[in-house]
Amino acid sequence: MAKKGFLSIFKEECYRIFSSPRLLVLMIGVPVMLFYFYFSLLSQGVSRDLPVTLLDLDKSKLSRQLGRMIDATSSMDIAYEVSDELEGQKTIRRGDSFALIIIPKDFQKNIQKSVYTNVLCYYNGQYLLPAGLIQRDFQMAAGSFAAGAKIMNLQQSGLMADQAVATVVPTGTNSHVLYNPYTSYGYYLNVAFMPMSFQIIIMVISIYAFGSVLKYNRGKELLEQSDDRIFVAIIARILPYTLVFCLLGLLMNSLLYYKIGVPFRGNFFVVNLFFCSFVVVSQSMAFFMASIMSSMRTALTIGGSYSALAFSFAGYTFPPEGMSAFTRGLNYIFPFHSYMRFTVDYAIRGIQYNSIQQNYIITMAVFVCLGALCIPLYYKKLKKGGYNVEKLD
Amino acid sequence: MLRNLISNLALIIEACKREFKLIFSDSAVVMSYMLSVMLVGFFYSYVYSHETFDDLPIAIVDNDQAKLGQQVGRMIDATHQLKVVYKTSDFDAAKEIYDKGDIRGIITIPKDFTKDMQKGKVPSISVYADASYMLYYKQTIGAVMVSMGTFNAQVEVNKAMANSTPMDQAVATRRPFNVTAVPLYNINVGYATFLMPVVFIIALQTLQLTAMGIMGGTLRESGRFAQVFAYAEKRRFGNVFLTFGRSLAYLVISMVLLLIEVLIVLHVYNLPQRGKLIEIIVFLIPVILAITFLGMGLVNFFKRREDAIMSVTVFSIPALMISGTSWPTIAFPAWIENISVLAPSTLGVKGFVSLTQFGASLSEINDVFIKMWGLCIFYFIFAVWTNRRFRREENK
Repeated sequence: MAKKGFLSIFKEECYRIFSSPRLLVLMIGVPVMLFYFYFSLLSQGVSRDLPVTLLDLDKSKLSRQLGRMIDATSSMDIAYEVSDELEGQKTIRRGDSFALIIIPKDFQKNIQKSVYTNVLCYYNGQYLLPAGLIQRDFQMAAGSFAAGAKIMNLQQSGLMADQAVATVVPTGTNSHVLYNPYTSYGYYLNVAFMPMSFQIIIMVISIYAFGSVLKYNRGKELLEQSDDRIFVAIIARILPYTLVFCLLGLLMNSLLYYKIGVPFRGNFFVVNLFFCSFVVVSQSMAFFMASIMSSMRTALTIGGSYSALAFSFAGYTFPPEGMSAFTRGLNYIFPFHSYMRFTVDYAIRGIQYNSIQQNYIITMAVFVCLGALCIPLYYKKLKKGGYNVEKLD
Repeated sequence: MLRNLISNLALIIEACKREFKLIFSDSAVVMSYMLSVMLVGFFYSYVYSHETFDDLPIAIVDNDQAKLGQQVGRMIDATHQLKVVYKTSDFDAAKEIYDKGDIRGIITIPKDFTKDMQKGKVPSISVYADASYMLYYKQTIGAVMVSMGTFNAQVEVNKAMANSTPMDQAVATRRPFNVTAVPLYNINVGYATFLMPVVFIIALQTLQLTAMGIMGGTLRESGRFAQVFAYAEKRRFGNVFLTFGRSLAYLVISMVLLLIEVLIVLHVYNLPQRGKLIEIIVFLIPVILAITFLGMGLVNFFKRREDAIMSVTVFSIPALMISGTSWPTIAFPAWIENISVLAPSTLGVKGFVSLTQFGASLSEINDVFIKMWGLCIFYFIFAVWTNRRFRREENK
């Protein structure tokens, strides 16, 4: 007779995990690979030297100087020099170049004669990140070139250097970039992408752990092994997965806050504790899916899509302020939303516990309750043996 | 010779017909392939349909409490990006509200701001922007920069006018030349316009691969792979024609799905579409075929029905990232740049966005088009090999 009780189920499940290369790859290999992928992809943090196109119709000393100034900015690199506008537009339409900068004919002459002239930068607004950088740096470089010329002018007409500067730039602006001092996308995106990809894995593997008992009609055996104690059956079955996920979470958080060096203002222990509770919450949802669906395949399809949709509803890259009220409410049905907002508030911004954070915690507790409510349902299914035993009977 | 040709053609048509039947007889496949692609198209567009957001709440800490400082405050409030919801002269009070999450940034105007300006010193205001969410930061800094630029220009012109320069001249000679930056294509920096064309391709790729994986996995799990495709009797290049015929079914379905996205979803949500339809269709042919052949090849890795559902989805965001839309290709490490070519979506997105958003013609992006066909042929060989492998293996 087979052994009974919590430990025997637990051990058996551990053995199943570590003797199945498929499970191992999906459960450990894929998350670790994706962590490395994101880490490597975003390792530059800030994108530099984006290719832009220069159309210099003047080819004078001044226009070349302006071109060099643009080339010297951190975000732009003049990768294409064209001789007419059509050719320049083509580089943009092909997506090779992010902007077309046009220095008009008689640029230098007009400046010397004080005739109105205009330097244009057409940047591709479709690529949001490069667009922002190029627009900023172009305004800065060309703007200060123009301001510099004006200051020189004023000095020539008899103003002191300080006075000339104060005339041209009467006030300054100090920017304080909170929480992400280098505006590094490595910090910004890794914090979200890593747990995002990981939670899909947590969801599907957990559904698999609960659902495969029913798919392969081993429900009765599991109940027998646990002496008909449903809690023992469920917890012993899922605990090995929970532990592995929590360990991987620890790896992920260490990678984020120590290796990548995301500015961190929380307590490392608490962050991990919170991740572990997120694992439990996700698994409750997985349990919910596996219990109410009529087959493992449906549970996996719906659970997988549900967790894959979560990113858009996390309000991370596109904030809730831009969503309709309906969508904003919808955000809360994804545990990842609460996880993400809470983690950012606690670990990145380091702000005090407040009513919004309390909402996140309550939301997560609701998911656990939802899972708990399904225990009788799952018990029934276990007793029956599997998802579709009726047909076999 | 002619007979051969006709019988090969017959095989292609037969394979295509049977594949249609195979697809529509499995509800899971219909659901995760056709319905989901439509759902994602409409649903995501809805979520992002506001494109941008206005009136991000901020606080102003005015230590100056004089005319010019207040003017700065009003100008910032007047931008559509920001809204001043709290005015104080106490920085700590503002910080407290900030920590509660009620505001997203703080702007401080220093003591004696007005006085210093009148004295000819250069005082600076400070912006504290929340970069824990990048869009909050961009929105705050962007609006303040524009406001301060305008404010500075006003002050400069006023000064010139005080020195008895006429206003027209003061404005005209403020700078030796003007600097103008004009956004192209996505002029409001809208999020839906940015993301949706990419999502269409990525979603189709993810969901079609999942569906094909479910089908292949099911056939393999039940050991019916060879039997289902037994109608293609042994002959020279039989598997080539079989593979080609099967792929036609997916080509038709996926093309219809993508055309619905291009013609209806983009239209319903007022997103731009600047390409010629016929050129878009021609470009999408190798994109869909490459995805299809990859899908047939991936069956190698899916032994069971659930394998594909469990493993394909997680790669959708990495596929999005390597397409180079959110994170520029130029910042990729070499190894990722190299493997990115293997995902049909990478070149597919590049071409699709060029055609539909930038209004490029197919001839302008012909190198992408040719590379797309190259990838297509590469996966075709993989697919033929896979079909041959499983038909032989199970026959043994």
